[in-house]
Amino acid sequence: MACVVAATLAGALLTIWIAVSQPWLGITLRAVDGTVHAIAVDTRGPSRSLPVPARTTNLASAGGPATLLETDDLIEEPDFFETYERAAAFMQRQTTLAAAMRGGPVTLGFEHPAGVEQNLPIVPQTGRPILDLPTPFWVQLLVGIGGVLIGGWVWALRPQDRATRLFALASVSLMISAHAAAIYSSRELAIDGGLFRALSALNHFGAISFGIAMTALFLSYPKPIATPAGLLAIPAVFFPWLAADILRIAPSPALGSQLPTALLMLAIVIAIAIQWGVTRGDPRARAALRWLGLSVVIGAGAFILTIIAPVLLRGLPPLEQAYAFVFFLLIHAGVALGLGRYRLFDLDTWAFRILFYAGALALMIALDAGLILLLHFDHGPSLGIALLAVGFGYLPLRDALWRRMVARQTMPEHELFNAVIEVAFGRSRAAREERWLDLLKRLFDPLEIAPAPIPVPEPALLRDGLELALPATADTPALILRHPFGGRSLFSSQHRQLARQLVSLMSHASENRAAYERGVAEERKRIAQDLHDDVGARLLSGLHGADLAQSQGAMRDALTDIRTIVSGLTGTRLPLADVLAELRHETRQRCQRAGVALDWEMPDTAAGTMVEYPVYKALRSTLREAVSNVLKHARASRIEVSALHQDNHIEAMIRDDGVGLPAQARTGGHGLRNLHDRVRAIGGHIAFDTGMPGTRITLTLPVSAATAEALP
Amino acid sequence: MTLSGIQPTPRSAIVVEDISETREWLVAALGHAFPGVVVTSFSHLAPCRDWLRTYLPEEAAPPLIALIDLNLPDGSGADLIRALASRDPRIVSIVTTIYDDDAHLFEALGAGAQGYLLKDQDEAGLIASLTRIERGEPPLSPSIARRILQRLRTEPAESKLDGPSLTVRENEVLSLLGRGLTVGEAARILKISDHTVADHVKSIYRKLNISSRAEAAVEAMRRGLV
Repeated sequence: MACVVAATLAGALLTIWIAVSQPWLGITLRAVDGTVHAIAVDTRGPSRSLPVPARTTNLASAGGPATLLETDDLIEEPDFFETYERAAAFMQRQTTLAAAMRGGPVTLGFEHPAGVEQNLPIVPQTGRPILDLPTPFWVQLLVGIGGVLIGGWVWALRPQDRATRLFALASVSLMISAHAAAIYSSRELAIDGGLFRALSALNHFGAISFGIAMTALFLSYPKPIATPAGLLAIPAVFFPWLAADILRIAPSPALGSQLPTALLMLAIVIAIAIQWGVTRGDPRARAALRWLGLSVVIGAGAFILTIIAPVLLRGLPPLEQAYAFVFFLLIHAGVALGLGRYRLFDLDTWAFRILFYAGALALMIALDAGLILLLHFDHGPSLGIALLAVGFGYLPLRDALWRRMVARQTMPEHELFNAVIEVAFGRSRAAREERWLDLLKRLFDPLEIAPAPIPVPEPALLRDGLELALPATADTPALILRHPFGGRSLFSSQHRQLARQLVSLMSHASENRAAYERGVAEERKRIAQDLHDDVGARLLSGLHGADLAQSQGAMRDALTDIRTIVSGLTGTRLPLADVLAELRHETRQRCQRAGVALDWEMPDTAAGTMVEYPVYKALRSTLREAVSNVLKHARASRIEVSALHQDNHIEAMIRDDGVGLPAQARTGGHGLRNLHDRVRAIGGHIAFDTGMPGTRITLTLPVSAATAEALP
Repeated sequence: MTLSGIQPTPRSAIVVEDISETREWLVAALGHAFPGVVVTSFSHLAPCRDWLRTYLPEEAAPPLIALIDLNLPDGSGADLIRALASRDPRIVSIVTTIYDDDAHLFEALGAGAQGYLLKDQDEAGLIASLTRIERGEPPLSPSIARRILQRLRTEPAESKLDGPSLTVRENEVLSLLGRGLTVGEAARILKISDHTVADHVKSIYRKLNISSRAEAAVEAMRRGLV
């Protein structure tokens, strides 16, 4: 690539050097009404004393004969003479004029505005200032440079490829043609006929070579439709033809230079048409061809609009021919993108945009021209009307077509969301995988879905959009989708975006499902553990107890435990106020049935306090057991209960006025021993005092269970 | 409302319960609570419905008490409660269940149940509750009271418009019962009679029933069923 850049720069510098080595008058000459006029002079140039504008009549070298100036002397491009004789005559005049200028002082004959003819002696400067070179020179120079750089870039991408080599060749040809034309078409008045002829020959050589290379390119890319030997037939025909033109042995310049150029352009169009047919069923090749075809259409279309249409319509000024080279650069760039397979996957979108903007422009120009020519509008109003018409009529149409043609195949977001949820919450892995594949088929209709051979971190377009790689998701390994939409088109950036959205939604949904499943598993584990620990223990004690009433009590407790477990309260914290209310209610009912009075004041110390479930269980069991003992054995008439919340502890007291606890019950009784153990297990303390009269049980429980094993 | 707030002793009762031992136990408890009562028991809903059609003519004064399980082999007891409530509001339907969650509780109360008893309490407790119901004092445990209050608080406003909302007094009664006080204690704090508190409780039950029906009607209209 460095060589390419260096060679390009060298070529450009050579071109500039030739252009600035020409003798210089410092006059801007234009053809006006069949005569030559000086319309401006350089204020620091050798002709600064020439009054402008003035009609210039002749130029004479010192002591030599005067040469009458003709408008033909000013033409940019000498290819359009009808005969070689006229071309030769033109070259001869160029030689004469150039020699005069190079020879030293000259005399310029001009007609003063007042109508008096005068002569002005001028000493032409030996070199032309570089800044005096007109814009068309620089345009052509830059087109040449740009063309070679583009060609070099593509060639560097795939140096062994026939197509890129041909394109590089075309690029060099374009530069030769453009740079040669840059020198002679931007000359001030004349350059030496020999140089002119050589440059013109180079220009023709470049143009023909460009045509040959492009034709060969389109016969080789995207699909090779001609053998290398067949391709050689093209230069074999056109180079002798070119030689005949340069040597002026062809019948006429039209047949010698314009006909082969036109034939080559026609060949390109035919090659594109053949390629279109051949690439059916190969979306990637089609997309590349579309870049190529698109650029040719745009380049040629612009050329026709700006160069040929004005000639036909005569209402608009034609573009200077030098600028036409810009359109070649446009074609060139388009071909490069096609060859470089630049974002082939986005081509549909781009092609649509470019074509439609070009279409809008063409429509506007046509409307404008129509209004001027047919309805005799002025330029201003006609342009305004054309703009309005295009703006109001065409652009909405464009949008509608856009939606129909390009923005198709997408799903509304809510539908997408539903579809993803449906996949993510499939019952089994197999079901999720199946639904995911179904969704992908629905969205992209690929001809093939295969497991990706390598890990895919995020959705990616491969092989120019022929494939879309999707990361592993929805319990499905990473996938490669091939040939979307029944193989009729490529994956685009839009599709990748859709895939990203899809995968992101899917991973969120999957995370949620996983969290849900984790929750279910944890809950199941909790219920299993609680059932075994609590209900199992109750049932065992009921099973092994000798006393029927005790067994029934165990069963009742087991049912209560089941309810608590099912309600999900075992792992939670309960409001102490509610707990106490429930216990008071229950105790009250039992006492009422037993005919024992209950004193249980409920001061508001519990408000806002939460107790852990094991603490609640210990409190409930202790109270139940204590009250049962009193009701069964104490022969009491009154029970006093208090339960207060103090310093993160529950201080409870149960006192009766009965006969007191038998000594044996205090030390070894089953029920009381259990209570002791249970309370201690959660870091609490229980004490029994008996006598004077009855029994007093004091209970201290922490609000939070102290030991880990007491927690569920 | 009867003059004294005390309902006449039921001459007959039905028990709908699929577990035979439990059924016998409930029948026995009814016998203890209301000596001389004639109890007919069923294990399924269908024979119970047939029996009601055949032996309980429309006009017959039905001092009937019905103990109905919620989950029965051939349907939900709540449907039977609803049918009985629409037939004659004087029929006292009481749910006997082992479920103690909001869904079952409010379904039953909404259907028109006047009591919600847990089957795993001891016989004495069950008999005491039945007797109190019969005396016109529907059981309202602190947890049920609290849950009713909570539900009324969280209910969306628009459904409250159609259903009757609770009076200030009813709210006070519920709060006190929810804190674990007895009817008598609540009466003393509010400086009203025990009977008045019991009437408030009955009124709360009724309103829950009506409110649930209104909700159902609104829901039906919203769904275009009516």
